[in-house]
Amino acid sequence: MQPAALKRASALVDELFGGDVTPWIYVWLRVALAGIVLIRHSDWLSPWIELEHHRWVHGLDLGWSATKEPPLSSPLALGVALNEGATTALVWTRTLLALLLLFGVFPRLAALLLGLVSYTLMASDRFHYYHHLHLLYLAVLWLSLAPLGWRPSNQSRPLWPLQLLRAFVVGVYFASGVAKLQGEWLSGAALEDLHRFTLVSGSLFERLSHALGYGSIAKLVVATELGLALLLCLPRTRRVAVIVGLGFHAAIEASMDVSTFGAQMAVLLIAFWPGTVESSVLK
Amino acid sequence: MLLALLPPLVAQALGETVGSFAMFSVVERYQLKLGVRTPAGDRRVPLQRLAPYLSNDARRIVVSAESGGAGRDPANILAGGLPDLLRLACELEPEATAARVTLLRGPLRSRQLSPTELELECNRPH
Repeated sequence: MQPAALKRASALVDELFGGDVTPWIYVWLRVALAGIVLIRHSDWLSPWIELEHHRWVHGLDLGWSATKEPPLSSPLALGVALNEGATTALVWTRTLLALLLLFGVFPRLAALLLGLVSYTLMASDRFHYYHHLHLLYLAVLWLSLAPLGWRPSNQSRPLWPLQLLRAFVVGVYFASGVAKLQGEWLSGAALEDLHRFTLVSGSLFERLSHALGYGSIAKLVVATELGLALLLCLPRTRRVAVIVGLGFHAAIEASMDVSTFGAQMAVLLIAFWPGTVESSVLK
Repeated sequence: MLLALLPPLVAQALGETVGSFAMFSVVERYQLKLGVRTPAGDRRVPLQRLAPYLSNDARRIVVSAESGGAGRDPANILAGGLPDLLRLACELEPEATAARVTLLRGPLRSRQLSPTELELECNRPH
């Protein structure tokens, strides 16, 4: 590579990853993601609030639930089939690690192990796979790179772990948008089918579909997802994109059962709110 | 940075559900039929028969597939697990000499679903 090109690449990396960020964002991500892991993987809130996963999660999620021998063994990855004892141990370990992360006890190690244990449990049974769980575990793993340990509250933190987490979120919007760039979605046929099978419903969707038609809503969804992927990357439009994104997920929540997906994306969108700070101590 | 951005696109390019984040972009209809061959002839195995041997998540997808389900992701996940379902059927049906599974899937509007058939000889210890 030519020295000039090398300099430009180095400057770009500095621009992308250099600088500091306000410390509250890492506290927010740690507490919120750990909280969602605990809420999504248990029915503990069922006496107070009805969440979608309470329909099938009783006790701790991904625990051993076959009631007779021999259980179906269908791991997602070779060699990850678990027996009842190992599954139960990992489910409790996951809960303990999420609590450690929530309260900031060895938080980086807790996040790393939480991600790995959660993936092991998911891979032990292919039917455990859900996009929103994959999203949650990946977010926790990316968070394990962040400076989560205790420091004086006014001391800023390095930006680069946050930038990686942001890139991951941008990648999710971009991939979701790209997957919909095909005739069946863009024509509105897929959305109409989802509506017919009541996978999409609710008064907001009914009004929109009457006013705009399936095809227009489908194109609007793609434009929003790809638009968010772009606007979240640009410092000038980042905060507007956060607000648009929150509205987008609120609309999805009002129209579909997507478990904790909306809450997860809302938590991750907040990661785009803080700006870069230059000094190591916030004024 | 690329490690954070690219994996979903790679998963999509490979046609994988896992990690693709291709949420609801294509809707499919699917149906699963399970049967065994015995010395007395072929016999259908109701998927409800498997329920006690399945995890909660597997039960939601497998048992409901008897009457038909909707979604490309569950159909893909089911397709990946067919050999495991055959092994379970062999274990649950002691008189079976073979197990056969048929996964029918296709566009939601289509009347004709494309079948994927798999058969497994049940090897019994002598």
